[in-house]
Amino acid sequence: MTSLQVLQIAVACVAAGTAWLVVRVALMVAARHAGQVGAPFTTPRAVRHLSRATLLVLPVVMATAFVLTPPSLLMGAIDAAAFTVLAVFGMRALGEIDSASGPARDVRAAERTASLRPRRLGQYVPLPLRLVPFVVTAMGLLALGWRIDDVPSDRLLMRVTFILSGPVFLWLYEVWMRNEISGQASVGDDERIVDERRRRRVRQILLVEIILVAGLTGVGHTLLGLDWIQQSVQVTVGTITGAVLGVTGCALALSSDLSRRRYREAGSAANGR
Amino acid sequence: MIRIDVTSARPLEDQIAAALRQALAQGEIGPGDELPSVRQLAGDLGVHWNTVARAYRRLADERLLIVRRGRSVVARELSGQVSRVARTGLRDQLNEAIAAAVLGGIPSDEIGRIFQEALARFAERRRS
Repeated sequence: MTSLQVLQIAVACVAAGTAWLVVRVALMVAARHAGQVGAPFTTPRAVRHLSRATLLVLPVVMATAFVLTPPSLLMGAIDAAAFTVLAVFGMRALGEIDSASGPARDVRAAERTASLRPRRLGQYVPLPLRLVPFVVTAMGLLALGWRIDDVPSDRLLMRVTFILSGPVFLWLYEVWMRNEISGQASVGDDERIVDERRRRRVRQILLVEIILVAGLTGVGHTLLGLDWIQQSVQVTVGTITGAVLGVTGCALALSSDLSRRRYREAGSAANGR
Repeated sequence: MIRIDVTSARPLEDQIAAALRQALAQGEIGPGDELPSVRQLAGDLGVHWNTVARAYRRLADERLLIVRRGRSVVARELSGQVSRVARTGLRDQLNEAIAAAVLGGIPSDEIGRIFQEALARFAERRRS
C-alpha cells in the first residue's frame, strides 16, 4: 500500500466520520448540562439515524478508498458526497439536540437582576496561564517559518494546515471565553456561586484551547518532519489525530450554546425595547 | 445590582436608565467607577444589547456617564451644581405622580408623608 493510498483511506474516514463526531460532542455537552441542572433530556431519534447511516457509509467509503488507485478524482467526489449526505443527517440531529436541550437552558423570569461590577477575563484566569496558548501558537508559527524551506513541496498544504489552524482555534476560543463571562441567565442564583461556576467554565475552555493549540501545532510539526513514503503509518496516524482534534475543537465551540442558560419570556429580548 | 421587570409596561430602556440613575444617586456607583460593558449587562438581563446601549447613551446625554466608543463606560464626576434640567425634570415627575395619587384617591397630607418617607429611606440607603 502506498502512502497516498493510506492518506486516501484516512481522508475517507474523516469525511465519513465528521458528522457523527460533531453530533456526539454536541450530545455529550447537552446531556451533561441537562444533568447538572436536573432537567430531563432524552437522546433524539435523529442521532440514532445518523449513527446507523455512518455505520453504513463509513465501510463503503473506506473500501472504495482502498480499491481506487490514488490520486483519484472519483474518490474526492465520493468523499464529498459521503460528507454531504451525512451532514444532512447531522444537521437534523443537531436541530433535535437543540430542541431537546431547551428545557435545561431556558429560564423564565419576569424580574431580572444584574451586577454593576464589570467582569474581565483576567479575574477568572491568571495571566501566565492565559498566555500559554498565545506562546505555543507564536512558537509554532515561528518554527514553521524557520523550517518551511527544508520541507518537501509535495502535500505542503496538508503539512501546514494543522499548524495554521492553531491561530484559528486561539481566536475562536478567546471569543468563547469572553462570551462566557459576558453573562447568562442566573435568576435566583447566588452571585458567588454563579461567579465560581463561571470561573470553572472559563478554565475548562482555556484547558481545551491549550490542548487544541498544542496538539495541532505538535501534529503539524511532526507531519513536517515525516517522510510520507517511508513513514506512511505515522503520517496516517498524525493526519487522523489532527483531524479528530480539529473536528472536536469545532464541535465543542459549536456546542457552546447548548450549555448556555438564557432568558425566555414573551416580548423581552426580541423586542429590544 | 440593578433590577428590571420585562412584563412591565414601562420600556426596558427606561427601566435600565432609571435603575442606573438610582445606583448613581445612592452611591452604589461612584465617580470614576467603571460600569459593565453593554454586552455583559445585556447578557445578564437577557435583553438586546442595543437596549442597554441606548440607556447608557441617555445617561451620557444627561452628563451622568462617559461612554467611550469601543471602550469602557465610566461614571462621571458630578459637578455639585444643581442642574436646571434635573430640577425641571423633578418638578414634572412630581406633578405626574401627585396627579396619579390624587386620582387614585390618596389625600394630600398622605402624599406628603409618603414623599417624606421615600426621601428619608433614600438618604438612609445612601448613608449606608
